[in-house]
Amino acid sequence: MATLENGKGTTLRYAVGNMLSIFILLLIGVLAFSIRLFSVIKYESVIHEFDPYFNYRVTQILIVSSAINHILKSLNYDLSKHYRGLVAYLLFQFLTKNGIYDFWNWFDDRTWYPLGRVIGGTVYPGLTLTAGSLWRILNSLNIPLSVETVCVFTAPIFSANAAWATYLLTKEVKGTGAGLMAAALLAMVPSYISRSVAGSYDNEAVAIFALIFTFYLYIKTLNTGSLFYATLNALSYFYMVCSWGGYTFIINLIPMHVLLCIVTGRYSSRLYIAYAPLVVLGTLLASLVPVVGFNAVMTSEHFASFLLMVLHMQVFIIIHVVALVYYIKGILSPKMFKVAVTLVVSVGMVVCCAVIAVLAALVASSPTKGWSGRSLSLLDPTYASKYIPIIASVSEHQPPTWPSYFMDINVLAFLVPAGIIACFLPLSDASSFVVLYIVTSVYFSGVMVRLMLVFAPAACILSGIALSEAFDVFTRSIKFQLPGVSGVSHSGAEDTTTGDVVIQNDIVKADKHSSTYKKEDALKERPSKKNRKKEREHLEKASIKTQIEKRLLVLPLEASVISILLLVLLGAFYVVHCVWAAAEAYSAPSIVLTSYSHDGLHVFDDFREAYAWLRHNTEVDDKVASWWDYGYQTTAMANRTVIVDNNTWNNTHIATVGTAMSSPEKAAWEIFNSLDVKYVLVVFGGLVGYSSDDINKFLWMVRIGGGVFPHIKEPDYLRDGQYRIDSEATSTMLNSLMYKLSYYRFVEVDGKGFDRVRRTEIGKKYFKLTHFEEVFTTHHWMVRIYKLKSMKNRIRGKTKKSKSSSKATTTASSKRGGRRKKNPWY
Amino acid sequence: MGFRFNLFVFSIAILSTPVLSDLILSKVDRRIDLTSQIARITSTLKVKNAGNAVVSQLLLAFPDHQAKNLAYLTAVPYEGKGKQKASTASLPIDVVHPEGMPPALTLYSVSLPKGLAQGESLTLDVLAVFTHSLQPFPEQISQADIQLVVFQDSAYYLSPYEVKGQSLSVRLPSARVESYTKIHNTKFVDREIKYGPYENLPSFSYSPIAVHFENNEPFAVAKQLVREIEISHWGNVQVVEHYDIAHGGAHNKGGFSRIDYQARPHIRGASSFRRLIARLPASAHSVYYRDQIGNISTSHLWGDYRKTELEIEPRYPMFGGWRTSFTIGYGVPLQEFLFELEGKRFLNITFGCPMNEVVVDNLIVKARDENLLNVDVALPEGSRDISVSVPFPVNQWQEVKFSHLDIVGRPVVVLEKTNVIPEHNVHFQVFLLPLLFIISNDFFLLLLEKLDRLVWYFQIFPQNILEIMVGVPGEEHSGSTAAGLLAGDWRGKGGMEQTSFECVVGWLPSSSQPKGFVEEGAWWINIFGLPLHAWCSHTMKAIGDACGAFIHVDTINKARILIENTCWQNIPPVLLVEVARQLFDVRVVGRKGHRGWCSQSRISGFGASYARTPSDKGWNRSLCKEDEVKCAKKSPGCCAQNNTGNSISICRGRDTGKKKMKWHKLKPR
Repeated sequence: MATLENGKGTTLRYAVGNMLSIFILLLIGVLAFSIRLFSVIKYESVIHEFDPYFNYRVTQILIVSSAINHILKSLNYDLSKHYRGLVAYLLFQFLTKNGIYDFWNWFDDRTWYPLGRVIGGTVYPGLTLTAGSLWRILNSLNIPLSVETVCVFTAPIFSANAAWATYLLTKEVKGTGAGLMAAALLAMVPSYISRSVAGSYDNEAVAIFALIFTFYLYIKTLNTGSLFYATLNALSYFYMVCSWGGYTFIINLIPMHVLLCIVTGRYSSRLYIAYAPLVVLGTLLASLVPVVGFNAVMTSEHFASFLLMVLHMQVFIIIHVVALVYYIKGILSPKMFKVAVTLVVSVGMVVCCAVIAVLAALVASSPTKGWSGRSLSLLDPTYASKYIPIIASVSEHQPPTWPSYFMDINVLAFLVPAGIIACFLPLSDASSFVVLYIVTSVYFSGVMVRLMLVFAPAACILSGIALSEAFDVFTRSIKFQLPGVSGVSHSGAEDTTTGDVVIQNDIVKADKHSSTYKKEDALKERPSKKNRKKEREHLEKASIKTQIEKRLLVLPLEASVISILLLVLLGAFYVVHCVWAAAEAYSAPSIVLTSYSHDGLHVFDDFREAYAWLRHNTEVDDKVASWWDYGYQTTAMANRTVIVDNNTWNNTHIATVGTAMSSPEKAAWEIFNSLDVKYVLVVFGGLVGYSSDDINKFLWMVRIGGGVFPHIKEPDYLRDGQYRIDSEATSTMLNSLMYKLSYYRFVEVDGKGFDRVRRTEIGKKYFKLTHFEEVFTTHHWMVRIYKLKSMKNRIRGKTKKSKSSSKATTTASSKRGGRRKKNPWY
Repeated sequence: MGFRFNLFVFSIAILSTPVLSDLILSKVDRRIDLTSQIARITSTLKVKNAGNAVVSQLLLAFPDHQAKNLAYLTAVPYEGKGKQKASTASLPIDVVHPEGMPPALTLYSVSLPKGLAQGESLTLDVLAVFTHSLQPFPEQISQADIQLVVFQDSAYYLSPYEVKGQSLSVRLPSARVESYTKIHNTKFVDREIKYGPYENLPSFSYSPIAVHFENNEPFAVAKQLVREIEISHWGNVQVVEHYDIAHGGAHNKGGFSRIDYQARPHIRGASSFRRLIARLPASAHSVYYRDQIGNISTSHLWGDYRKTELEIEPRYPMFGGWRTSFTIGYGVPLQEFLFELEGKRFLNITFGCPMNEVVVDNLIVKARDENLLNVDVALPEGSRDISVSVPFPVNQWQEVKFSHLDIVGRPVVVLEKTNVIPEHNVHFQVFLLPLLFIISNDFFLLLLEKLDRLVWYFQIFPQNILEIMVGVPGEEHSGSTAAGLLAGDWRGKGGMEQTSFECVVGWLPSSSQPKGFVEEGAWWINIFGLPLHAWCSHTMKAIGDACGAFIHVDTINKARILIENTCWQNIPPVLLVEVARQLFDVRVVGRKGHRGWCSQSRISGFGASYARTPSDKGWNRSLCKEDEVKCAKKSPGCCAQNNTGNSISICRGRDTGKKKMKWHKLKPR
């Protein structure tokens, strides 16, 4: 009777627990969405930074350019006129791929002038397709949201999805409690917030969801052995490939895990089902994405380690061999099996060697050994700064500092080790995967600050596991020790923790009991058949053992209470930090700058001022040259053709612009004129103290330019190895175009020419421009736009100039005779 | 003078063409106002009929090069200094092409209010407004230069009639004049150039003059302005205005130097403009100002109970030839703009651009009813009924727009007009089909629509709270005002000459109006139900005094009077007004600040009467002074009569049904 009632009670508890966890998940989704809205509330609903502007523009093109859309719109009208076929229409619209084909074939002539860029083949289409279809769905339902609005809110929506995916993944690893905890942590982890605030319309916003979801499906397949999930996994992987270049992480991590499982003797048919369809289907699908294409099988980025060949090929072979071995082992007698093994191994070895030789030759024949610059810098963190300045010049490709770990994952950094330990108690296939995930992502995040983003979900999962386990232990010990409860606790022990968590936890407890043995086991990484047998054993014995073990695991009451309080406090710290980070650190759209002074808030909206000016007051076909950072923004906001942009695919082209910026005025004019440039845009922060301006980036221009055009030498711009713009600066520096365009007539502001970023007076104060004329400068001087004088003017101006300049120099020198001696360029 | 004049060449031979009629302009007084980018020419014409026949038309002539820039032309009978000009409606004007006229002239015919018999004379005020008639010269200036413009006209009044005596004065924005044409009798006094008087000039006299002067007023030209007005019957009217603004003055050359501009903005940027001010309705809320790439942070908003002013700065100072585009949007409460009449609802909202300094080259107004079905689809019976009443000619068509969760889309009325100036910023009306029709005709079709519409209907419809009389249009063109248009409709239905004002129900989506709302101070009261012929500031003052202490009349919207009162309860909901021996119930609705309130009792009587008298041009309203008038539900007799015959007396009562009346006699002025 008692057990029956108990059973009823547990089902009820199941239901309540499920309802509760669904409710909590909903709240987590709301939290993940709303914590990212600070940028909209504090600033405005606008696309952020650089890359998102490109994505926004691509989305616009995707939606606008497809002429079929208009037809569909009218079709929509016709269909709905008769009140039917709305669903059919939606299906039809999604099956019609014309919009996508237009997109594939889109050649962008607004950028990389005169080369242009094939957008369809060089862009990860996942994000734009996602937002585009979101927009289409909404519009087909006649919810007329603008493309911009949809783009702005794509990232928050997908971070809610990512939180749910984290829940699913962690639930597969360690049960519902850990899942909820991990989801809550991920919903507000600052590292992820930094890339997914409303308006941050970048690949990562969607890709992190895809990453976690792919991992979830892999684990799910691993746990269930279901081919259905395996297929879904391949599709999810396809989505990830569409979304972000980080897919290589998945396709390297999963084979590594498979290998780990095989090496540690954890091979099972579930592993085979989890892995083989993913590789076959996933690679096939991945090669459908134009930007990936045959890279999916050809490049070494898909290698996982040096020891093996193309990893998935290798692992693929290995797993098949192993599968075969197990299969044969099942059907043959032990003696025959031995014979078969020797046969297969010898044949396999030969085949493997041949394949290794061929592939090694292929790989070795390519100059970078098949690795792209960014991947190489992952393996050798110093590689980029040595050989590829263009990668090193991007701040997000630098290695992170320690404070940035604290900033980005905060208390999770302390919880992760505990989580790793918890994963070893016991070590299942799923938990070993999580451990592998965190280990590799820690390494990558240490190389490149941008990859902190990959590390953050792993940290959240492990911290969730750690917190959940800790709470479990502490609450249980309190429960067992509370007087009055203890009597009930016999019957209620199983009820306190629900469902599979109970079992899981029981296993954990059981394993904790024999933890010394386990740890040893894990450390030695012995083939753990025993281990798994133990697990099963524990499962059977669990119900019998629990009571006793729980009593044994009980901690002192006071210690538990205090620990719980401390953990809650830790969580509170985390929440406070995350909200602060979301509100203060990561919400600024970076095209609008604000500063607080004694008389209130100041808004620096200079970038948009300049872009709006370009958009409205220049010819539609004019070419604008600027450093590549502003390329995407110029094409998206000013709608003008640029020479280089943030997609840094052509180093030579960027070097040309860098050379022009580093050259004296006349040489620069010739370079720009040869590129049909009409306007030159420079960003100058000297007046208001905006530190990431072009003068501060100037050395990179020199380096990148010098990398291709050797007449630009970095030492010419440095005085004794120091970069300076004051009167000690070199004449090459002071005569460079960048210096002149930045400081043209700057001295007239305060009479001294004090640069507030460099905190010094500028070196060359009074000079005139011969080949360029100022056409626009924004309110705070942050963007200055110059126009190339036309050829005719130049010749006339030159003859006049020679006289006037000599006059000017004579007058200037007579005026400032004392300074003349100081300044070496006269 | 070295610059190029687009002179208008006239052959003398034309002068000998026969005069059309025997009219003589005995006195012409012209004033040209050039203080902004718009040229406003006000001419006071004294017309005399020297012939025998009765003349009912007067011709106005403009040279073609002026006529193509003509944005606005009105002629108002002039009634002397003492009386209010605004009390009379302007006269209908048409383009005509009479025979025997010289080429390169555009002629407009003014229909005189009544035929001008022999020897009779009439004085008319003619206002002609021209855009783009100030030509910048030189056409390109640098940042530091001042902007000089040329204006060309004739020193003599160009007219097909003989002009006995005339004078011209040109008012300039500043005293700085480069040059002006000097002919005899020319004086330049304190920013004003005076030509004349000249006497006894034959018809078609023309003597070109040019004035070249400094004008640094903002030359803001909206190349295109799209106003979208969306009515939501949930209680909001959303107005979104898309501007495409250019500086229409002399083009900037030689770049823009920020340092010069920042150091001496008034010298080194004199011709530029930084900001524009939009005057929005007092109850405007949720105002935004943005462009394609996001919010524009340089704007200020302030307001009082009279108006809301939005000061906007474009992202950059506007120099000659520069362009920019932006969008402003705001919401206003529905009950101030939507009214109900005879089962029809109509939207009454301003037409033009809310910025006083802006000339609009092309204005598109889109009025849309968010909750209205596309009648075409939903009601095959053909009861579609969207009509528009605008006091000037516009292009007009309909579109369908898909909005939130629509299946069939919503009808949009689109009005287009070129050359729009601030004078065009008057109210226009869009008549809509109410939901009642739809429901009674085909209930099931409606079920397919959103459920909220049904809910809305059942909630709202029985509660028609605010009741207002039509009577708003007072100074617009006759025949095109709401009242005139309605009168025409009824006549067509009933076959009667006589029509009457009807009760108009203001649309109020909720009954949650503050009832015991007590506040002292100044109040705007709106007057509804006053017959048009009684519209004058005299009446307004009397009404204002009856309700409290009269302060001010809103000159734009005559239905509003500002009064001083201690408490809203002291303002009577209904006033009895006697006009020319007839009694009128006048509804008074008070409003303070942005929060409207209204009294709850319903209207009980009405009685103005109009008859349509066919004149040669369109319909004119004229007051029926005889016995056709029946005052409904009320016995006249308790009102005193003044000896003027057009007397107005005002009775104050809480409710007419109770006959608790107190009389306020008007003080003769």
